[in-house]
Amino acid sequence: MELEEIARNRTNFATKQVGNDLVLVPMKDNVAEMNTMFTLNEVAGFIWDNLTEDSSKETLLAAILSEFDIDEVTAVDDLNEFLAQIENMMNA
Amino acid sequence: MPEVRLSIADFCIDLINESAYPLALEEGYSSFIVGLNDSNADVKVVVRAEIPARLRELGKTIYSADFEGKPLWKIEKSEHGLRFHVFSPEAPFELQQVAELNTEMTTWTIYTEPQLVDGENKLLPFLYPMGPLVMYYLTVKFDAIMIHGSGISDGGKGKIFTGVSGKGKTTMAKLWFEAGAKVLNDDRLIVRKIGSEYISHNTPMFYDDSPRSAPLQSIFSIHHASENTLNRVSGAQALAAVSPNLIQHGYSSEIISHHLNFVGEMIEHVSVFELGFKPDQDVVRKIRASEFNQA
Repeated sequence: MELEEIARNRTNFATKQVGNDLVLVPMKDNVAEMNTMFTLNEVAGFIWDNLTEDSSKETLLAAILSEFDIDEVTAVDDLNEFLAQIENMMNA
Repeated sequence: MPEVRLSIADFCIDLINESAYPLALEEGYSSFIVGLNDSNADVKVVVRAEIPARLRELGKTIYSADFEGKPLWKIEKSEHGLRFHVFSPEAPFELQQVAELNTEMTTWTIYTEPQLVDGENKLLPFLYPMGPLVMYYLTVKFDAIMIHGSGISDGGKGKIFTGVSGKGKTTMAKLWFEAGAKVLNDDRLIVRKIGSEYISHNTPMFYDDSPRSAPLQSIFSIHHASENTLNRVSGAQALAAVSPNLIQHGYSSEIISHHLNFVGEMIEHVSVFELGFKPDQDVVRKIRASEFNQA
């Protein structure tokens, strides 16, 4: 799934920050599906918050590296994990 | 001047009759009627006889609540707030009432047809499901939620066992009643935040029942199981355990945010557990023992 498409679909989710986690509630036909919540960890939540239609993997990686004290390999892993999780979520 | 004042979950509801017919309430509301005084109501309900022709046609529906494929109510946006078309649960698709709620959620106007009650034509403004709709929007306006759950008070410790139909709410209420606890209700509750406390309340049902409440200490997301299991959850897990059982009209991001914010804050003050249970007294003993060990 392209980053641009993910960014466009962000509006189909309600969000709630709980501690370090970001909880996403999908909206279907404009109604919240409270029994299908998704939880993003701190890094994934940061990516979600910073994702725009203009985002690229490179800009997101740079943002992760400037926000968190992690090396580039871990940041790439986190970003790929986020993208896989989001794709599963949006196809659910 | 209001004709009737109700106190439900400590919300003050004034019924103002703008018709020539007397008002009547279903049996379950009797014990929630309180005396009139000068204090302001949390919401005013203006009752008018007959549904005007101009309100019988519904515009663009933003939310529809259906039961077994038949509409119970539909909502559209109107020029001054929301308009509800409420249908008869007994006669599907028959328009029972039209209600309008202003944008500030301070005033309902309910148009309802007179009905024969004890040999006299009367208006029943809170005919099901209108009453619960008024209660629900009070929870949306104020710091509160409405939840599917059975509520009990065990020695002053309020507990909610939450779950959708079939998860064991009534069974759990019965077990706690047999163990000497006070049962608030076994189906639907309102939880309000008052200061730093969370208070659970029963609401009028179809049968006569007294208003009851308890300071809320813990919430259990329940399911039937072959053995009793009790796991405390927190954070996102607690939010996910409680939120699916909210009574909610999730068509607006403001309403969804209200519910998520309320639960998000509540789970920082109220313990949340996942509970699998067998229908006998062992589960009551297990919960009481767990509280004893925590104390």
